[in-house]
Amino acid sequence: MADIVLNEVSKSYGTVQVLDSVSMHIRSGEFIVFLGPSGCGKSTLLRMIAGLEEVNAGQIHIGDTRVDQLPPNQRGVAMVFQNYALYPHMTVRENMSFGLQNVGTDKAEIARRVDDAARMLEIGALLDRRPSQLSGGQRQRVAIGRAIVREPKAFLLDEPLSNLDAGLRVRTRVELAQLHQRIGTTMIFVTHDQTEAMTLASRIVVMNNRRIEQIGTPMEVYSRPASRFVAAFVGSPSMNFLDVAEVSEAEGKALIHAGGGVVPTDIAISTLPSREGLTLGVRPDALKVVADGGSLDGTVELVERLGDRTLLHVRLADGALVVAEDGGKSMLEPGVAVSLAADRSETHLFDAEGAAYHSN
Amino acid sequence: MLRDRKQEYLTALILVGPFILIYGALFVWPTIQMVLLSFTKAPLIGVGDWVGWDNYVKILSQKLFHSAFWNTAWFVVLTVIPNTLISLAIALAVNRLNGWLQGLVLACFFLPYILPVSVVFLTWNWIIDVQYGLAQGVVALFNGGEPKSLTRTIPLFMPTVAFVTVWWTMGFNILLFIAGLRNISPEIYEAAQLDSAGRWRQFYRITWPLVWPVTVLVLTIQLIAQLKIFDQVYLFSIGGRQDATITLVQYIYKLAFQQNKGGEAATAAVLLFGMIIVLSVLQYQLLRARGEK
Repeated sequence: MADIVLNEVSKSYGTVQVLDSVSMHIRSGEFIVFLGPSGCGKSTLLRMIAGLEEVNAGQIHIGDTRVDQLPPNQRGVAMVFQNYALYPHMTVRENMSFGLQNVGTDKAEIARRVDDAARMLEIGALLDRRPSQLSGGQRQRVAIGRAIVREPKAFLLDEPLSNLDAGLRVRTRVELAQLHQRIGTTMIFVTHDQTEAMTLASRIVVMNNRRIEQIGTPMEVYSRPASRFVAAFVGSPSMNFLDVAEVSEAEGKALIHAGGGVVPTDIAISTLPSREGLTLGVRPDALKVVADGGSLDGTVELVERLGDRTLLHVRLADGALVVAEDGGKSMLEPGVAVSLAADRSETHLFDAEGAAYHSN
Repeated sequence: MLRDRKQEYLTALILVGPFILIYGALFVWPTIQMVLLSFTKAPLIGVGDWVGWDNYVKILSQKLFHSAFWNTAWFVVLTVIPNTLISLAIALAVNRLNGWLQGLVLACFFLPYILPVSVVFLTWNWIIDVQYGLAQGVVALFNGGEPKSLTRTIPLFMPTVAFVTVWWTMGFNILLFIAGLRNISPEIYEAAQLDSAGRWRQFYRITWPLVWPVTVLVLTIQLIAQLKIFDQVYLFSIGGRQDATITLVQYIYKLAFQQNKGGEAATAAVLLFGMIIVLSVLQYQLLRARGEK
């Protein structure tokens, strides 16, 4: 168990920069998720920690050791690959033993560790099979098992759930969370799926365009997104964004003129560097249908019934389209005029550069 | 719509028919004729009297057949395994190159394969020529400073022709190995790196077992091709003591076209045919079984 510290780490392929001065401190035992769209550099960053990609600038420390110049096997990390990368010609037992054999672990110890891991992952019955005789979910477990037997300081998981079908993905997600609770080893998990990130992470590292946008707990990232990108990327359905026509003031708080109405917020006007070029952000779950007295008026265009709640796609007076939420038993139908009220404590403003200003 | 069985059979027959006809007329029928011919005392052209197993008894006891058999076996030993190992080694090296450089190097190694045997013969005959050949510089080092003919010194003949054959044909094997190596996902090597497997262990425990099926294929193709060796040996031995370096196909050629013994030539051909089938099936099955252990 060890902390992992990244200090201004950069990476480029020729003239193309893929990571620009990334720093973070991962505490021992944390479940960290690197979240971001394809091509944001999250997998590259993971591979740099693993030692599979060269670090062009900056330092990586695992525990007390600086590792960025060490070969992968001397870093004390184990990796689970997206396509599992099991050795196709070896049985499950051989796959799990290979790494230990290479470092000269004694046979009885190898057998003990493999059996322990197999029991933990419930793959005891598969030990003599080859990867080709396993289902996707079983291969996934073997890949995790191969990592566990090495008793690493940290597990690096590169989109390990992306090749599983939807049901299995949810189940494996839960099992992975339980596994982390049980063994308590640091895990770094790369994904582009925000649900995986929200459900698994102790902290999420949201990445975009070569940089870290935000590091925070799932709820911090959700409720206080550091940038417009984070606000849009995390949460499903996505946050509503409305162009701000004018900002006025009431008791030191910003009153936002947008979407053909005036939205009261708890955002202190003094925090705003400028009143120009702003965008208002409200999540669908903070935008509710009210009988009257709402700040935004519009017409329902589409109704999505999810059972416990209902999503309404509402065309506002100025033509903007927003998604609002209503109760599960909502009687609203397309074409009906509605009034929407935004929860003022959950309103956000973003400036032209994407920086965020929150209500509290 | 219900499927019309008869119609389906007819369609199948029409599609398969041309192949069966051509295969039957050009392969199956001549093979049967050859086997029948081996039991007769026929000349090269025309029919002969039925002599039963006489030809087989005669051929199998002939000294020239024995020397052809051993020469061929020696040639197989000198070419099949060395060619496979060298091709694999070169493929491993070429596979580490990237982009256009890989293409260029691969093309260089493949180039000899597209040359006709006559060009290969002339090129190498010139290189090893005892008076002005470049290779004589190397030969002299091992021969007390004196040149020595590599194709007129009987013990050196087969190794020399085997060397030229390996040089000529390895391009194709390299290509097969490259295809096999490219099938191995780079992630597997990354996993092996994390699993503390060094270069040699990666080769021995990962690469070698995973290219084993290709290796079996290359060995089998090589074995069949080298058992049928004729051209190079024939060309390099012109003007020399051909009987001393004779191979099986050359022996068949001699019986049929130089001695007008169609029946006996057919007998030797049937024997060679049998050997190739038995050896290649045996080899393929044995090696494949080893890989699946």
